[in-house]
Amino acid sequence: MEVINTDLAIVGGGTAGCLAAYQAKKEGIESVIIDKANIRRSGCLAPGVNAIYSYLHEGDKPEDYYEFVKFQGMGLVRRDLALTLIKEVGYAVKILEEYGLPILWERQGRFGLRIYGEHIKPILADIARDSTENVLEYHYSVKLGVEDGVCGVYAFDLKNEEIVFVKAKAVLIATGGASGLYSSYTVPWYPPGNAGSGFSLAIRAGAEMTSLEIRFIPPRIKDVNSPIGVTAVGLKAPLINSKGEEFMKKKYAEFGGETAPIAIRAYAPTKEILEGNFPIYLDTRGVEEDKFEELIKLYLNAWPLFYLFVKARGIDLKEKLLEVQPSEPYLTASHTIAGIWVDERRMTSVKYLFAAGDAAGGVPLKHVGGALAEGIIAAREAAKIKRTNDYKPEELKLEFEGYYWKNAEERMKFVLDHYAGGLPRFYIYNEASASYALSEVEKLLKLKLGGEPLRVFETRDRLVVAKAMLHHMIERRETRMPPFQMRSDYPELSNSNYMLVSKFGEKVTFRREYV
Amino acid sequence: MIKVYREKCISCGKCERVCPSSAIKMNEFPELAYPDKCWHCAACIKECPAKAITLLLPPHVGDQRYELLAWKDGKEMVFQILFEGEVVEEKRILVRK
Repeated sequence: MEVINTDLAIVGGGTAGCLAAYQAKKEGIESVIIDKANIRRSGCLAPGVNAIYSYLHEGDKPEDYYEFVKFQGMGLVRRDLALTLIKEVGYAVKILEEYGLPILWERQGRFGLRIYGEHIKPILADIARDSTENVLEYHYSVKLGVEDGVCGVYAFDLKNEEIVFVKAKAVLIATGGASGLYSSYTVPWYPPGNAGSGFSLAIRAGAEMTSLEIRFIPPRIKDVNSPIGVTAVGLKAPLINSKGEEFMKKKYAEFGGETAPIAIRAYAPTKEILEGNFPIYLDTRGVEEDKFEELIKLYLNAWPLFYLFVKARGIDLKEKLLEVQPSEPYLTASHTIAGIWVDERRMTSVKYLFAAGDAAGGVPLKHVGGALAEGIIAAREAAKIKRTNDYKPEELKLEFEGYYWKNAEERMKFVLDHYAGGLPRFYIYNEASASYALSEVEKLLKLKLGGEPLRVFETRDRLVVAKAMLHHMIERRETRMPPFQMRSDYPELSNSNYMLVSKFGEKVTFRREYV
Repeated sequence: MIKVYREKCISCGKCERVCPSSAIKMNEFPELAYPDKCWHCAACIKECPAKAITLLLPPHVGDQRYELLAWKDGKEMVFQILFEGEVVEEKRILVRK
């Protein structure tokens, strides 16, 4: 087996991973990026993005950002992580600007910086390639080598079907979150290639996971899954139901009306649908006409499918309204607090193992800015590690004969959709339903999966993540953040202030207080 | 969904290489081997040097006669909407300083 020696092994060449490679070079250490695709367009930024959220404009203070994410997370947020990340975003933006990213230096939303970001991922890939010669593309990270801390990554070369061991002083998980746990009713919101492999690597290495019960269910333009925040909050277009009622103002004033926390902006349309008041619309009739051109351009920067959607459906934004529906659930630390538990340095509970971006839980709505910042923080901290690493990699025997991955994955999605608060049940679950889902997922996990290696690994990772998520969902015996986490057996809205943490191999879940 | 125009395709394989989901497989021509993994992100379309790939809505979402074509032109990205193969609208955005 080939062994590559380095200082920092970065799993995932996306938003956080590319900037981690940059910072590693600055700190004078070597890094290797391992990505299962090609870093030019891999990860969440493949289509682009129209703003870097989590950015402090002139006059904003780090504490203001903390108060904002605390409000958005309905009280559940890690203060230490929020305050450390927000201080680094300005530095990250400067690096991107030096590499050619056009920045408008205008505010978008409370903590957003407007950019022309269609090319942000090719630019990040340029940064990464200037920072390390070692980019292992089309390599799937299948397992971490652990022995008194993490010692490296077993990566499967998808082209030659061989294992490589990347031996490192530190490992950074920057894989993004998990898409594809639940069925997509249309085009998925989160990249379908994000299989939760970083969560799975961490879980199997015995790292603590946090808040996996707080799933993310984005309120979106129905069928095309385009963001609504920029239209609803940015252009002040209210949500209305089929009776023409502005239900956010009327029924959710105590949460902040149209600018309520994101969970409530997903819950309210869900409730209207269940009460029969659908279709739900974003009322764009009051928006000034010259804003529509700007709006289309914002979408071209981030989600060009919306442009095709508007034309093919014959939607005239002046007259025809945009229909809204929340999508299926996802697990990602970009938008909720679900992820791998990390300390202020972004080190996980496994020594020398770091996590950043959508993989590292604790701050809701941390978005692209948070991922860039955490890549930098993790690399800076990893550079301080002095250790000897005598780990002897084992020969991994990987076989791809067995129960076809697709059959297992379809069963998993069906079970989660119906028993673990999927879209067909409008996000509701209870003890009995989630326990049934858990027992079915455990059955699937016992199967030896077969088929194409990439898809076998992805299905296995999704199953590992689903099991952990279900343990969390069962253990939170209350409704804390509808619809992200809401139960029919404990329907009252709770304002408890604990985080659930889990560690596999030992007692499954336990509570920790927010400080 | 994506549509590949074989008469324009130069079989360079770039679409297969850049797809973030590894959903495209090259034989003589590219094919969407895993439709469930197509994010509709348009990476393959923007990166195709032959303008041989277009983006379509999933059939349950909208009219299949409309297509989106995109390519980089200097510091801009050009987006065209086609209806039955004819260009009906074009927009440009700045992508690099």
